[in-house]
Order: sequence, then structure tokens, then C-alpha cells
Amino acid sequence: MDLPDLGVGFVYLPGLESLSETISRSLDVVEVEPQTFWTHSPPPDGGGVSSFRVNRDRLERPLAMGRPVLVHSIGYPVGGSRDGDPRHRAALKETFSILKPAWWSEHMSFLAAHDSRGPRHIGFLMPPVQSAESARVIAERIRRLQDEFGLPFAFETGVNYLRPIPGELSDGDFWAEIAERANCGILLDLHNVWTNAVNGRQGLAAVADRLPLERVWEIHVAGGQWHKGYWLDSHSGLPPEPVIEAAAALVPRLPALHAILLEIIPDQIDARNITEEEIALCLARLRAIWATRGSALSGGSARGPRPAAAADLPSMEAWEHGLDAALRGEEAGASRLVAQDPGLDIFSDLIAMARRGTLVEALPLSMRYLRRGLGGGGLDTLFGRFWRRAPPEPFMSDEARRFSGFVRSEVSLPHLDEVIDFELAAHRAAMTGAPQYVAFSCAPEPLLMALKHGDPLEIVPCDVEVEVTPPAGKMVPRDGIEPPTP
Amino acid sequence: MGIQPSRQATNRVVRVSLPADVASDLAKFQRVQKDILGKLGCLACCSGWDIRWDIFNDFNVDKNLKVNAGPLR
Repeated sequence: MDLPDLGVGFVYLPGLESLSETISRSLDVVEVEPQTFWTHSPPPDGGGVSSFRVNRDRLERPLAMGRPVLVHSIGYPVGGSRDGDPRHRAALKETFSILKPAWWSEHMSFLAAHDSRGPRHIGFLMPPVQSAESARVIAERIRRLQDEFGLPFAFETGVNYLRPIPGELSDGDFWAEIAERANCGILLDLHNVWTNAVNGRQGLAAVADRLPLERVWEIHVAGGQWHKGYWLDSHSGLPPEPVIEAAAALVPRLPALHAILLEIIPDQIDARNITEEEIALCLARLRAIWATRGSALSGGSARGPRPAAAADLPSMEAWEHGLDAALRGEEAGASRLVAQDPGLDIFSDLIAMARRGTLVEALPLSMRYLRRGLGGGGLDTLFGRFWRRAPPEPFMSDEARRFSGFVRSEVSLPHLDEVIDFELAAHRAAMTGAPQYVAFSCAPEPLLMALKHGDPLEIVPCDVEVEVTPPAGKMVPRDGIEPPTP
Repeated sequence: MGIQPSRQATNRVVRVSLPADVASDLAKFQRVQKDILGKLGCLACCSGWDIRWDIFNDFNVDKNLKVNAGPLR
């Protein structure tokens, strides 16, 4: 595969735009996670098929840095028994046409379980069962995607907090089998593999010894943190020293490495006081490692034959259904295989935290009001009821809208509905570029400002219609797409 | 930023204008953009602890409207 050597770069997410531009001298390449820049608005009447909106202005911004851009998809993982939401494909094609990446990548994971009612979103990238069926199905999917997009593809080696299932292929053998069957690249996430090893799965060196190293096109590094005795892939800081050391040891063995990317979550940078200088220093260390790529190649592969997976492993569908059920404390499918695994509790915690994080970010004023009105314990109880009633939504705006409907039916606080209406209208205004209108039966500004600043509520009765004006220059819908009416 | 009366919508209802950004949180940090309305898509690639809840939980404002962050877990 004739791919360009792109060098060392940084992930590009909402919230990291300015920082990326500030440190652009330290970057050879940036990697966009496209779905974080897309939006989704269902049809106003609830019918018809909605599409995902690609915001061209926001996606074109990294191109202005004059660096090559890679696309790291996060919402259309390739590790499930069934294809993901087909709407991703059209939006990915549009994204590729804008960013023109040399290759793209996605996760070797699944996001939903399926039953007779359709897909049930789990809210987290989950690991597939490492069986012969999985390797075959996933490899066929990757081949189809490569044919459809006409763009080289690499899958990311995922995090797995579960213990290995007896009879599964090892992590390294599973990924090797898929890469060779699909004739694709590997995005070797060193922090993911190191995290897996710290938590009891196959060690990083053993994984590397089983991989077709000539297929490792890209490396990710990141930081993490502890939780209940598990190391988490939380992208919460700079890479721990063992991950840097692993990169230094492995990169000379990689003949076709084309990029090394540093991943970090924007909120963590300020919360943990990570300076631009520290990020630049880390990138400089990675660049020194990058310079050693392919410098210690061994002659030929010494991997030996791959063992076969056991024939009695659960089917992919049974595994997905069982994992989803076990996360909800139910028995179904292959749930018995993981029900006693403490890693299940880790996944459960992380899913809940992601959902809470989404809601407090998307509905900050409503959530402050709910905590004031219900107390911390009451809010926890409300969350618990909502988690049981509604599966997670992939898009933040959809999760916020669904939670809002639930809150309206469950909680009665003065003018709460109006605060919720206002925040949802703000979402619509941002997504459509069109003003939105909401009614208040009190003066809106004193109420909203009191919630925003933590002041005592000030209620001034009056009838007001609020025109919520779009934020300037943000989230304008792409050309040719009619914004939904409120 | 404030309410901008624009016109009478009906005999009794006053229409006012508020920017969508009012819903955005206080700018707690400087280097990373705190732009809620730019983050309505999917979550970023991460398989670990979501810090946004911690930030919400630790958020408090003193009498001078100074925003303080609690300790991170």
C-alpha cells in the first residue's frame, strides 16, 4: 500500500480547534473525529428519515493549518454482527470529500445490540467476541467499506475491560486474522493495548509479536487514570512513560508506519492543567521516535501459525445481546459469560458517566436547576430511572432531547419546562442557523442568569416570547439541506 | 448580553431576543473552548472516565461570581 509518511500529530475535536492552531508548529498532521462535528435533527413531525449534517465550515477549519488531515471515525465501528447506522456512510463520504484523507480508521468494536425491535444503542464502544465468525464477518465488512469508499482503511485495536473468554483468539491473533483477511491497515493504539495488559489481558509485546507489523500504518498514544483497580483509557493526560517506552521499542520494527497521533480530551487539558509546553514536549519525543521507524526490521515473520478459536464460542449476536443484557443486570444471550466479570462493572460505570457528562454539558442550566430542586441524591435517582427507561443516544442533542421529555413527565419545578425549552431551542438555533421561539411565563433573563451564576432564583411573572438567536458563525447547516423547522 | 425587546408579538406578549449562547456554561477555563453549542455531535473517541460530570459536580460560584473548581477525582 503506497501511503504517504505523515509524521506526528494531534487529535482534532470540538474544543481543541484553537489549541491545535496554537501548537500547529509542532504538528505534521491532524486527525479529525468527524462525528463530533456532525449534528442530527430528527424531522419535525417525527416521521421520515433524517440524515446527519456535516458542517463544512467547521470541518474545513483544520485544513487552514496547511497540514494533512486524517479521519478517525467514532460512530460507525466495524466490530459488530451487523453494519452500523447507514446514515454514517453518506456523511463519511462527504467528510472524505472535504478533508481528503490518505486513509481513514474506525474502531474494532460495536455500539449496539439487536433484537426483534431493532438496534439498541449501548452508549460505549464494546469489544466483540474474538471468534472465527467475528473475524470473518468483520473482515468482509471492511472489504466492502474499502470498495465502497475507495479509500484505504485501518481498524483501531480497542480497549477491553473484560477478561478473555476461554477459547477466544488472543487479542493479537484476532486483530492479525482480521487485518490479513480484509487486506487492511492496523491503527495500533498503544495506550489501549497497554491498558488491556495492565488490566490482565495479553501484554503489549505479545500482541506485537502476533501482529503483521507491516500492516501497522498508524499509532495512537494517550493517557489514562485508575478507577476501581482498573486502568482506564480516558485520554485524561499525556501518555504514561511505559507507553512512550513501548512506542520507542516498537516503532523501529514497523516498516510501514505513516503517522503517530496523540489523543487527549479537551476538558482534561485545563482540568489537569496540562500546558501547551508539555504537549509540545510530548510531540517532540514522539517525533524522535517517529524518526526511528523501520530502523530495526527483522528478516521475515516469525509469528508462526495462528491457533483456531474454539467452535463453541457464542455467536456475535448472542454475545452482543448478552453483553447488553448483563449491563442492565438481565440474563439473555451470552450474558452468563460476563455476568461475574468485574470488568462489566467498569463498563457500566463508564457508560453512566458518559451519559451524565452528556446531559450536564448539553443542558447546563436545566441540570443545575434539577440539582437545586432535587438535590444530588434526587438527581442520581432520576438518572437511574432514565437509564433504565431509555438506551443511550449517539448524538448529544438527541440524548438531551430524550432526557428532557422524561424530565417533563417526572419532575415539577416552577418554570423548569421553560428552561428546558430554552436550552433545546438553543440547540436547534445552533444546528439550523435559524432563530427559534419559546414562551416564558416569567422574565427569562433573571431566571437563566440566576441558574447560570448559582444565585437565588428570581421569578418575575410576565408573558414573554423569546426569540433565541443562533450563535454567530457556528453550526450552519451544509449547502442543500433544508433546516428543520422548530 | 441582555434581553433585547424587539416588538410586541400580541397585545400582551412581549417578544424578546436572547442569543443561544446564554445556555453555555461560564467560561471556567481559558485554553480549551467551552462551546457547548459546538459539541452537539457524538462523543469523542475515548473509552474512559467522562470528566464533564466531575466538572459539573465540583462547580461552584462564590459571592463575587468567581467560578471555582473542586478537586479532581
